Amino acid sequence: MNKFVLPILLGISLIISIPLSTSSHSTSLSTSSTVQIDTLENTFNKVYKGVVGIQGELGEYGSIGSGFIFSKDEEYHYVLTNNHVVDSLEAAFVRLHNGKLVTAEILGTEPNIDVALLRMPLQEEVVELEIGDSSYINVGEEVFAIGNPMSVEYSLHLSLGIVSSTRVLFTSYDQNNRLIRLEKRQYLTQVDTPINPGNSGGPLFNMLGQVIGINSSKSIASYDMQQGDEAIGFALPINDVMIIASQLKTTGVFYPTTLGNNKVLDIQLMTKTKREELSIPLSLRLGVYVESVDSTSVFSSIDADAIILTKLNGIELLDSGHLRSLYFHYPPGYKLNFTYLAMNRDQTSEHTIEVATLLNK
Amino acid sequence: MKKKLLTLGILSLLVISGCESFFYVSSEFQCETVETTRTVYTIENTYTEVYDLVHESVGTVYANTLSGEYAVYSGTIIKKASDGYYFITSYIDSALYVDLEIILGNYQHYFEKDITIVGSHLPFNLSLLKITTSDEIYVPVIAPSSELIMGESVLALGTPAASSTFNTFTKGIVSGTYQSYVPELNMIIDDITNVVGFLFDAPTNYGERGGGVFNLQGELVGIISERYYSSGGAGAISVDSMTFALGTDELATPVNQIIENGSYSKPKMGITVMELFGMSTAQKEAINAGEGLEQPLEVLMPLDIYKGLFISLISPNSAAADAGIPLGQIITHVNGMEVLRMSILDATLMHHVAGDSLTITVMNPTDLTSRDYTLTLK
Repeated sequence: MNKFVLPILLGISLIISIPLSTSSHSTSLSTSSTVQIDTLENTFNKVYKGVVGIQGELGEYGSIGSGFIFSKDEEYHYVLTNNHVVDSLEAAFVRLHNGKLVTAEILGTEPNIDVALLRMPLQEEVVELEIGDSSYINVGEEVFAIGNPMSVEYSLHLSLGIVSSTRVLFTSYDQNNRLIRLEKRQYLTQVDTPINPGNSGGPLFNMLGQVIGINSSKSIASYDMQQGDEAIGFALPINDVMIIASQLKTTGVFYPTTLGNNKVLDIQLMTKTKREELSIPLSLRLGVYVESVDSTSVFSSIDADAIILTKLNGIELLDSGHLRSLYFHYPPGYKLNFTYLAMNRDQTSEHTIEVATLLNK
Repeated sequence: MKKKLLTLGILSLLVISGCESFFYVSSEFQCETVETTRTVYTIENTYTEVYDLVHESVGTVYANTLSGEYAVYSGTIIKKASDGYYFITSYIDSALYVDLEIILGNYQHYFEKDITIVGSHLPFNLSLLKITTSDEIYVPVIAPSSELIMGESVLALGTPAASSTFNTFTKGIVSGTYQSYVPELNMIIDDITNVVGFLFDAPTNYGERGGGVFNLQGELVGIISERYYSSGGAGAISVDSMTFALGTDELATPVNQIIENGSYSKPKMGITVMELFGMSTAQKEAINAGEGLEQPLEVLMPLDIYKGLFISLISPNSAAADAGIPLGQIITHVNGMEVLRMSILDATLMHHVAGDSLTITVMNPTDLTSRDYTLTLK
């Protein structure tokens, strides 16, 4: 493996991608230095002690999933995994990198986004993994996964690939163009890194060894069972996971920020037939078509059957996953300014509305 | 091949405590205490640069049928037209599909009124569409696929059948050059269009046909054509990462011909050959005995030559007949390039049109002497 020595460009001016602000939070850094991205071998050695296997009954052969250690306090180490890894378990056992099995308490779970938080007594032989920032993931960026695919036999299995897409939605695109609840529009990071059953709950790393996602699912046959799908793996972006983890840690439950009960459809891949049915302009490239389901919707005061959200605080909305990833990170009561088109009025003129985020309890 | 380059930028991001949201802060949303500084890394690399450069040139075609169902294919902008762009995609039968719609990687939609099917070629499984628009769309720089080398990194961009994975980007290497999509042993007649291209191991999936294959400079080197998969049904061993791409060199003439004439046909030499590569002595003996042949060979196949193309038949009034190429000899080179397998000759034919001249080197299997023949393709 080649060692890449990298010039670090600190002279460049970077706009911090804070989704809800415009250029007011840009920064430029003027120092410069050289940093080296280590070899994959060295990076693996740095992080593997933070990766664990998660299984049910003690002594049971085989692993049912993976997880990783991300923080600790005076008494406990905290472990993140997928909810679907532990949802049938009373108690989980964490298998450390050296084979030691430790009983862990399931502190809290979030079944919709598929996150679970575990804690176990402090362990000397492990490391806490550094958490990265998933809003900086680029398509084409190299990423690697560590987990326990297929069996305990293959624990600490390492696989490498690139990011295939950053804008895949948890609820797959509905070929019949049916509306989907906004809360289900969770972005996933799509990778061509080989991910197999048992990798679930394990960390996805960038080349610096920072966790940028939880490997959660893969596409097995999108079209034809005989052909099967290859190398379409999905990871939950770590920024969303950390929002959930911080609440699970303090309260054991997660109540997401919401905009109430809305059903949505994305404009970006909507075909002409559907656009004509919903009277959506053919020229519109991006945006989110929203139908307020009931009075809990923050948009229920708008006098229209449906609206198309085009901007949030001046930021162009790409799709419903983008919209959700923006409001998801705000506390309830936070004010958001939307630009929208009303479907039963003059569709060419833009309107604005200020709404406050709600707590989905 | 460009050396892989990673640049790494570090920037500091203030993390505001006391907020539920600890990653994002807006101008209106100020929390009171700034607790810590978080270091954020952005990793830029060649693959990302390639994606950023080319992604808007690749997209999908929705081909709606009269019954309301639609097929989704991938496609790639391949050339600028005077009033728009040429977009290459999977074969679309204009009799079956109406109401085409193209969505490019920047989510720009083009509808039926702006799309025409310029021409199609079923053996290559491709159609060439034209988008009439004044929009500025990035046209990928085209690199010659004949210069691809084994092991060179390539990046594939296309949309698997589930559109939620719109424009999926994967990485791999060139696994084989001058490959036939349907490798046919023994007898190949140059009237049959044998598709030639290269193989790569970047994972692709159903629906990506028509998508682009790019080198690390971001230049288009091929179009995703067919992915190999297990045909054995449930329980069969699956095929990992073998995708066939039509190379840009093989595509150039067909595309130009389709733009010019609305159709393409491969030029003909009028030779029927048998590929000696991989053929066992027993197979050769069986063929010499006339087994499986409509009529016995006029000249017997040599048993001790293992590569090249054995000329078993010359069509009357063909280019080969005009050039006086004799039966029973072995084609060893075309235009000076060694013909180990039929695919080399096929690829060369795909680079030419009727009226072009080719130099064929043939070897006499008895005394192993060689002679060049120049023939004018018909």
